[in-house]
Amino acid sequence: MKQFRLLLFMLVLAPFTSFSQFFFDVSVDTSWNPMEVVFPPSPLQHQILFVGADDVVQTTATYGNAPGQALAKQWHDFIGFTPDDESDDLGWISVNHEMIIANDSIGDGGGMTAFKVRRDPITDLLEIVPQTLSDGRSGEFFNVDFVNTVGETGMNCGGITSSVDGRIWTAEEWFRSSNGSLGGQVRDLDPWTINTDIPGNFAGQTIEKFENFNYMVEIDPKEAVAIRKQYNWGRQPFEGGAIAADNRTVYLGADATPGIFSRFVSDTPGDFRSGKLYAYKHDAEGEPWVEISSTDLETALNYTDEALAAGASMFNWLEWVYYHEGKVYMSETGRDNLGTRLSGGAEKGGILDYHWIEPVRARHPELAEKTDDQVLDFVLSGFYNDYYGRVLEFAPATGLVTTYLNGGPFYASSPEINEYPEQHLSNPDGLNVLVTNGKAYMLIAEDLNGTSNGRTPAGISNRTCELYLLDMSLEDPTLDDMVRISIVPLGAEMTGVQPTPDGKTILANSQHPSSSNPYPYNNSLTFAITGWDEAITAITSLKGIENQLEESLEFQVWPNPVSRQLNFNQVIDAALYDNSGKRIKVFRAQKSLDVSDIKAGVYFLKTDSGKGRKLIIQ
Amino acid sequence: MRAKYLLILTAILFTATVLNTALKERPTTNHLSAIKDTYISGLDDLVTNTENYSKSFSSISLAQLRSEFLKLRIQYKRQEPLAAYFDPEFVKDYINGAPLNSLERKADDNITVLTPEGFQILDEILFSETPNLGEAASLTALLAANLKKFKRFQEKLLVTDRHVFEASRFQVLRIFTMGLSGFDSPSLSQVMAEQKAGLETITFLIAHYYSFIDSKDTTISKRLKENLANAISYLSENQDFDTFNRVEFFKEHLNPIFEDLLNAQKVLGVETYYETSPLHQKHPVNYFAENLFDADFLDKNYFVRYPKEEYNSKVIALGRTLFFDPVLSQNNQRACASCHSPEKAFTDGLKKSTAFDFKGTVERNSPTLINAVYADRFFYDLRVEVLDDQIEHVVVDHDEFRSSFLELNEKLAESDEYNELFKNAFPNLGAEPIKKYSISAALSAYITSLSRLNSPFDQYMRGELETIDSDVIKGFNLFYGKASCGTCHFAPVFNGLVPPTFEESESEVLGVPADTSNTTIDKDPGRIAGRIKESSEIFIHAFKTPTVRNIQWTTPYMHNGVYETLEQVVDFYNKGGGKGMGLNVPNQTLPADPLELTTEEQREIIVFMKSLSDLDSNPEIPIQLPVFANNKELNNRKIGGEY
Repeated sequence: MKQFRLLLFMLVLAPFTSFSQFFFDVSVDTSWNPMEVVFPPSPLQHQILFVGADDVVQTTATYGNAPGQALAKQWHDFIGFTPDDESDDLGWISVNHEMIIANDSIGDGGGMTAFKVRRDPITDLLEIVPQTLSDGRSGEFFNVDFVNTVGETGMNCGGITSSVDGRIWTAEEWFRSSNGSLGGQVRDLDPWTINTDIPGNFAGQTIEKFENFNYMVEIDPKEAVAIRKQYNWGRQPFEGGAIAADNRTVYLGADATPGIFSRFVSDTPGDFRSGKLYAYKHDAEGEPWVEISSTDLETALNYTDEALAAGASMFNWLEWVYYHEGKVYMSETGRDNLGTRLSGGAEKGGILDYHWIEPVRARHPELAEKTDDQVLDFVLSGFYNDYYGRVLEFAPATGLVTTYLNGGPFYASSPEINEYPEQHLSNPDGLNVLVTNGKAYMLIAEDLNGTSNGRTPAGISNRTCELYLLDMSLEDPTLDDMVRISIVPLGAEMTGVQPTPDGKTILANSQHPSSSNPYPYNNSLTFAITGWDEAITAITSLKGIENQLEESLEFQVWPNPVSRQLNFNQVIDAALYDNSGKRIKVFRAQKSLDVSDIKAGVYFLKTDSGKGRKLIIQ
Repeated sequence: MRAKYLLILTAILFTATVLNTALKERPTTNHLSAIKDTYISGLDDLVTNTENYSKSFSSISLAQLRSEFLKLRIQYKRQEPLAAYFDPEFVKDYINGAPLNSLERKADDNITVLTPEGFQILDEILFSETPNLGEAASLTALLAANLKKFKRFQEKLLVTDRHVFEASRFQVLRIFTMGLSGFDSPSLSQVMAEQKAGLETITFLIAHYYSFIDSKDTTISKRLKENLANAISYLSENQDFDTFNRVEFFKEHLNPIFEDLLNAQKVLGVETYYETSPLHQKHPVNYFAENLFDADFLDKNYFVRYPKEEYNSKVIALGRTLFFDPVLSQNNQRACASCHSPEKAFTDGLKKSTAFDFKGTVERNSPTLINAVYADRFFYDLRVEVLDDQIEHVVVDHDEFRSSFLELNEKLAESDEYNELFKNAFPNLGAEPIKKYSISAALSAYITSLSRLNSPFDQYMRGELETIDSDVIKGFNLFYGKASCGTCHFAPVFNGLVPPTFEESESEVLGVPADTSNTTIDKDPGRIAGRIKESSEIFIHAFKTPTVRNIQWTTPYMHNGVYETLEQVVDFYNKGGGKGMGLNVPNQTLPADPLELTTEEQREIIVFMKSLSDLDSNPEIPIQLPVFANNKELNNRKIGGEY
């Protein structure tokens, strides 16, 4: 009854307060009552490990230049982690450089940097371990030598960390169609003679230089050299891949429209030179895979066309691929006017993968009476705009690709900012799994591909890419189950999310940030957030507190002191004043406020209904 | 009894739920819901009318199709202040983008060229000599479908007072910088009427605030009402595109509105975008600027990577020293100033600058650095995103400094004096402050400091100069009118930085010839050879649109320095660029029709361009360079380099 009275009271007040929306005084008197609820500070520690164009890498003799040093390349993307089983050090980190640029000592094209870390037993923070490699190079960061081993790579984007032993492969996006498409950033354009130990007709054949790009390339992070281009996995615009627990099965995703989902099964565990290669075809008789030759160069060079001609299933922009406990997870980026981009693949024989049926039906109830084939035709005809993408799951047991977590949620029209879901996923890209305290959490990094059509709340055109955590023990997880854990600097893409095997640290990259961030956050950099083993519990309990507070009608603000996100139990209009009473922020119809940009100190929050709170920002 | 109690309880709970829901949809204030309702119903009408228009294609004459189209345009222009403000991406992609091919934003595996959609391409087709009505009909159907989608996404918009004021002020900017030049109206059929529609919407929006404003300050409302009414009647009375006096309209009507909208917002205490975005976020437009031609109208810090705290006198002074120091080049002979001399407005007067070791030339003409900071892309081929990153290309280029940052870091660190200068300028960088970051930031800060938007023309537009040569005014009106220069060289920098948000730099394909015989196109591929993800045919021979400020000092002109005089340049445009002169330029973005400017008009345009000069007559140049104690030979190096 008390609640009801309170509601009535508020209803009466509403018309009077409503007409004064803009009356947040530019400055106010700052004598407010303090808030009592105090939360412990976050156990998470941030540190920067590796800054592009700032840290120095050790290089090998390249293009006639002596071994020496160079400033590392930039545009960090994939991070690989290789555990060290032979010492107390944690292991080796490999970072992709998703760019193509000529460099006298690092080598032309893209590239990778490898370094070793250990954990400080007292602070738990990571430290870079100085190393001397067997080729004589000595230092902290090492350029992975491609030029003198397997030939240059370009735009190293995603890759593979083997789930078995941390072996590393790097992938190159941007399919090269001519030497011209190397952008003038590769000096040696002579035809390339393949030197490889992969069986088949590869070794000794000469191909155009651009045809030596776009393979999965295995590297050795311990020695910072490339080992082998996997000619036997086909030439594709790869982004991600994963190696299953049998150490024989490789799952591969191509970042293209259409993108093919492929599988390689090696004859011998751990030896990926010989085996059988397959393209996924969901409607194939028996196993959903059609074999494509893994020993023939011509086939490898035309892999996508060969797979389409064999009726392979078509996906859109497959990004990262991750293997976890018998299942394969892949992120699929959305695209506007998807169908018209896929119809070219359909003409070559490709079929639209069945997983589209569900999201298309959900978005287009008018198709309820139509058959599945008619739904797929609807997509191919260009009537389906896939704005948000999704995380897919492949279960080898059933042979089916299904949606694990759909991006969105989709609304026929954008919700108001206050109705806009707190958990909203637009285009998952990086994907990984953190195992800590015996539980598995999926890490999902966003890569916003636009701001219209509900990708951001109506009227917001800022692109902020976020990192989410999802408890994998949940059956049929929804967007509401995601927990937002990090936001990279404004304008940046969050890439390379990779946990350490001890479940304590998440490594990530901030790629091509915009200019408004202070040094070094205005550079591509690799950073580490440590303390997840403790933080996971705190985050879960915070969610619980949030739910409790939601149920109470009294205006609540938490946590206080706050370092990043300030939450309210109601949607409010409010202004934030500094301790001199000057208004520094105004926000409308919000349930939370990011305060990470505000200097530490005492602040005052005033809502449109006149309520005040004193805040401590740490 | 128990049942009855339960019923009451249920009723209470139900009411509570309803009320709770009602409250959750926070009570929008009356004036804001009125504004939003009008906006949404306006969009609704636009959708219906576009759908009806789309259906009428087979049944009405071309003349009717054209006149009905123009009515639709006016209807769109009424919605533009809020529509283009709330969802610029959608408006650009589907409603009122340029009638040119563009590239899909995200490109992972290859480049996708998008064909233009929306009003502008329809305008171009319908008003061409032999319109392809089939194409126009399908584009119209597409536009109707997209407008419908757009409306659905706008329905749930949370409109706040800040949005209303910002949208209005940005519409005033849009009217002057784009509307009045005919930027989005290829056929120029009703340019003034369309600007009027925008101003009428502003009038409607602001009318909701007069009573509030009056409670604080009665003079602002009075002026706003008068100026809006006068601006609208000025547009009604002066409809001729070629003779419209843009300068007078701006000074007498438009800018006073821009200024008073800010005054109104301030007295009401309505927040600005500085208070609603992260505190460290930079914004291109200084919201508190009162005039489009204010020297600080654009926030220089927005355009650079280093944080704004580092734009200080110590960093700038260090950047100046570095700029004039040939120690940055591998042979210690070549400095930034070698090709960017202060006396020549930071150019070198050569067609193409001299290369390293005097062996040949670099590939392109040296551009002015004054106001260079106002861009979101650098180099003629637009390959670099930010000024700070541009410097690396000069450092490593074998024809320029032929060095590397690692080499520079080590070399500069040998000088105690340089170490001190870097330490003082960058106290947060610790014991080894000489880094790629700090070198780039310092040079970038110095170049930033060369910005000056303070020419006689600026002063006149701000009202600081009482009078100006009437040829300047005529010249500006031609530049922004009949000669169409202003559709690419946008005010206030008069470069390719696109208003009203100033977040994107444009390139154009002009068909610049190899030499003055004007018989072959220059072979430089331009933007197609810039960034890999932009290596599309649409960008072959495309070059960044440079500023025309200080142009009188920056001869020779164009990316290859082909023209020695401004007369030649104006003549080139007057003839419709390369294509207009008969060269084969299939993707030329400059209309190939001759402008038909008289000799007198061409002269006036040049007089106007010369009024944009504000060269620093006494530029600060270091009198000595830092000393290298252990390398005496270096101490003889020449200030500004040998070239």
